[in-house]
Amino acid sequence: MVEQIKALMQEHGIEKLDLVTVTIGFLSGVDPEAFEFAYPIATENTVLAGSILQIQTQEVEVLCRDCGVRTSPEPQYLRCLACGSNAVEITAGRDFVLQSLEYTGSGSKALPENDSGVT
Amino acid sequence: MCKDCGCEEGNAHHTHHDHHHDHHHNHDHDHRLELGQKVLAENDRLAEQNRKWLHERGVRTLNLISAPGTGKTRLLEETLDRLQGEVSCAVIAGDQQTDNDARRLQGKGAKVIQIETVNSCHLDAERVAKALPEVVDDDTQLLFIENVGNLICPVAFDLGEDFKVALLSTTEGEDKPLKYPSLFASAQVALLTKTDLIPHLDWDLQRCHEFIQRVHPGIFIFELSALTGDGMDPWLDYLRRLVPAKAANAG
Repeated sequence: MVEQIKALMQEHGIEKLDLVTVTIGFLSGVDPEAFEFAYPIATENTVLAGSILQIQTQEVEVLCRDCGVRTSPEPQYLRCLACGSNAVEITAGRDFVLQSLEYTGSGSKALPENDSGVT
Repeated sequence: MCKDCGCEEGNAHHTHHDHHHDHHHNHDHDHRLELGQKVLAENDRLAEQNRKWLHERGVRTLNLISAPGTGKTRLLEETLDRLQGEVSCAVIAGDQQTDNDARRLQGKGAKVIQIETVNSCHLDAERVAKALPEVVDDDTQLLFIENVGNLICPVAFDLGEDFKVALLSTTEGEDKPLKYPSLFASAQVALLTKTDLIPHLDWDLQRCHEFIQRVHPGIFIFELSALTGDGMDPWLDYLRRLVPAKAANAG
């Protein structure tokens, strides 16, 4: 993710990064606490240093094949909270998404074509 | 300065970031860039490339994930032995260090390559992409990727497999699926290994089934012991049925 953000900072001319917002789903395989712990270490001595990580957790959502209702059970017991059926399909909770970057100072000019086009 | 977000206008309006991740930023920063990009987008792109590459060659791929010591290598030894001459298999084995697993799997008619991940606790699509041309040949029908022993991190990294297989041994405790639901929710198949030890353990098979079904209703579960061979046949039949039509010529 550090590499991904470095590329974005370069692409958008961002010099001072303040806040990084990330969504982590309960079924993404990413542990929010471990991720939070690692962030300052991973960003040390990079252009991200000093930025703060904000984590939004994402609940699990299932769609019931029996009653068609979407509910958010605990990941330890996936079932439809409306009718109790376990014929459910996971429709959310796997995200691991970089939502936004907040920054101060210059930046802002997006140079999609001619900059170092790393994506 | 706000110590939480580093911005200049923060006062004592909130305390240090707690662990509920519910910290809200009401004050404005100069600029905000909305993204919504997958953090593992690059890995996902490479995984999709791997999947396409494998499908073009008619190879079915299973990504085996479990804690260390669940018996992934022992199961593969037995599986390769029994499918030898019938289904053409290949193995990519991931470990932090040593090629012990690859050496154990030699001489069973399968091409085997070891990836040493060194400091990494999981395989990623890029490492697998590099290994694929070395381990898959024109005859390969079934590719097993034995991931690094770890119940958590490998789940997040798509390698280009057709599906994930979660292994759980009877010595690990039947409630592991509740403790690590992500793996069991992501896997298409769960294997309960070392069933020969059940008589010696305070381990409840029915409860284990129930817990796995709770985190992934409808998942396929096999019970087996690679040591005694009990339960190996249903697993092997399942693998035979996975193999695309060219299996018919293999006989």
